[in-house]
This record gives sequence, structure tokens and C-alpha cells, in this order.
Amino acid sequence: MSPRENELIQRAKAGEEEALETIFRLHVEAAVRLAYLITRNWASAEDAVQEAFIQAFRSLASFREGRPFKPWFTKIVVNKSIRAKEQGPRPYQGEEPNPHRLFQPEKRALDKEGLQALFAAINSLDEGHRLPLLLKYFSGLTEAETGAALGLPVSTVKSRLYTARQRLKKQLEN
Amino acid sequence: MADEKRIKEALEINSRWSGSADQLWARISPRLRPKGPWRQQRQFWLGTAAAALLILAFFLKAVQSPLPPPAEPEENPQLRSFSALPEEEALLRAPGETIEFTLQVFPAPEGQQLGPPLLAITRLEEDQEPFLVEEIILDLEILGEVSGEAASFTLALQAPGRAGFYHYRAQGSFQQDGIVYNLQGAMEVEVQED
Repeated sequence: MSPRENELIQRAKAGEEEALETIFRLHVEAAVRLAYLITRNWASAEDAVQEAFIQAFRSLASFREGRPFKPWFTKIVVNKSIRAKEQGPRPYQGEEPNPHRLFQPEKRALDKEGLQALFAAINSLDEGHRLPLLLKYFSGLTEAETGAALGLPVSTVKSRLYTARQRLKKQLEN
Repeated sequence: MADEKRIKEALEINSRWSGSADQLWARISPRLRPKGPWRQQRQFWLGTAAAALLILAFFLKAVQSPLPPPAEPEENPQLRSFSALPEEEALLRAPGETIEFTLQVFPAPEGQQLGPPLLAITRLEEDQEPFLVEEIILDLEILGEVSGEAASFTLALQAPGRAGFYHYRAQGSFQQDGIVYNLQGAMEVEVQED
């Protein structure tokens, strides 16, 4: 944990609203995007992250200082997102980003590289293999942190990541 | 095998958020603040009360004191801090060790009765919803000593046997000699094994 993050956590534990808001702004975008990748629905993602922040801030007293905040919070986001996904998709009030708008030059270029096909393949994985992939390659967690977030031994995380990459390769070859 | 860099790119470009952090914070921050009248903050699970009935072991002391009734949260600028967070440092105890838990008792303001006097013990896990460990109906025979005035009492309780972080909250109302009293108390306890 950086000295700045440690200081923020201490201030947040003392009930300083400004510190809580700073922590929120540091983590919100990555959290919503991860929640979206899990739920595949923006409204569910925002709801999940909202509940995750509330739970995290209410449980902050039990958070041990000196440990990094991100893996601890990511675990809460994952749990809330899985629950939100189980409740089904919801209509989104904001502007829905559309990854299939192929008239965008940037998207066209990316599609040439097969990234959309790769993304579709990732989403076709079962959750047992997809979630470790998201935490490792999107959230940037270590394999140990991924295991802690998902309640899996590190050896299982390694094995699932390997299997997931193999399955993606096979799908993209077909 | 799928290239790791390309996996990262595929996830990156397909998760761009167009929402507003300000709007999301506006939804979150009110839920972290005190919620108006204190009596509206009760979060007890009354259905389990009968099963959890317990006679309070004893009072260590009953101190008559001219304590003023606690101010309502919205009237107290100190409560601008977030109510969900502990107001004081958690008390550190070994499993089973004695905990002194202070209750404040005061005549209830008009129309502000809080229901049966209950003590709820909640376990706080890092990644879990708060878990209600025990709910106790307080047997307040000692309250004959209140005599119409505010007073504070210290209860002797036993710390949970399992290491962890616990929240203790007591509140409720009772009537004695035609006067309705409210009681309240809250504390955090961290149980650590040697």
C-alpha cells in the first residue's frame, strides 16, 4: 500500500467524507468496468459497484491498514456483481456504450485484429474460467490475489488461466 | 494460446464506461450518512428475539448522573462523520474476556419510543455482509434506580469466542412508574487470539 493510500484509509476510518470520496474516485471506473465485464449490463454494473462501495466503507473498520485496498475491494465488487448478474439484466438510464458501432474507425481497426471475436470467446467461457481471466488481465491482480478474491488456491487459478487461454485459442482457430 | 496482451486489449476496449462518477457518488454518499431521526435507524431482526432471549447477567454499576439525553443525529454537527464507521477505536479483547458495555438511559422525548430493549451483536467480515451473531432482550430490573433522570449503566458481557471484529448496539424503550425511557449504547470490539 502506498503512503498516500494508507493515509486515505486512516482518514476514511475516522469518518472523513472527503477521504471516502477520494477513495471512491480512485477506484470507481475500474470497478464499474469490471462489474460490467462480469454482469454484461451497465445498470447492473453500476448497482453492484454502488453496493460494493457502501459495504466496503461500512466494513472499513475491519480492513487492516498496510494491506492494499484494491484486492480487498475487488473481491467485494466481484461478489456484488455475481449477485447482480443473477438478478437479471436491467435497463440503463445513461447512454449505453455500443461496442458494435462499426462505423467508428477505431473499432474497424480493432475488429481487423480480431479483438471482438476474442471478446466474444472470452464471454463464452464458463464463469469458473472467465472470472480468473477478468481479474488477472483486466483488474491486474496477481494470481494469489485472484485466488483470494475468488476463494481458490493459487494452483487452481494458474490451472484455470492456462485452460482458459487454451480454450480461447481453440475457439479463435475454428 | 491466446496472447495475453490481446486479451487485455479486448477487455479494455469493450468495457468503456460512459456513466458519471458524480452521479454514482450522489447515490452512495447519502446512504453513508446518519438517516434523520435516530429511532428510524433500528435494524434489529425481531423475529429471532424470542430464540435469543437472555437474562442480562449483571450490572457492574449503576451510576446516577445528570447526563443530558443524547442529541438527535441531525442536530449534532459532530455526526457529520459517517455513522457506519466506528465512532471510537475498537476495544481489543481476547476470546471470552469481559467487555464493559456502557448504556445511556434517559426519559424518551415525546413520540420517540424505540421498541423492546435489545442488544444486537454483529460480526463484521472484510468481504461479507454484516452477520447478526446474537440478539438479546435486555432484562432491566436494575432500572428501578433511574428515578426519572438520565443515567449511565455499565454491563459486563463476555467477548465472543471467535476472533474477529464485532459491533455491539443496544437500543430500546421501557416504561417505569408512568415514564417512558429510551436506552442506547454502541461499541466496536476486536477479538484477537493470543
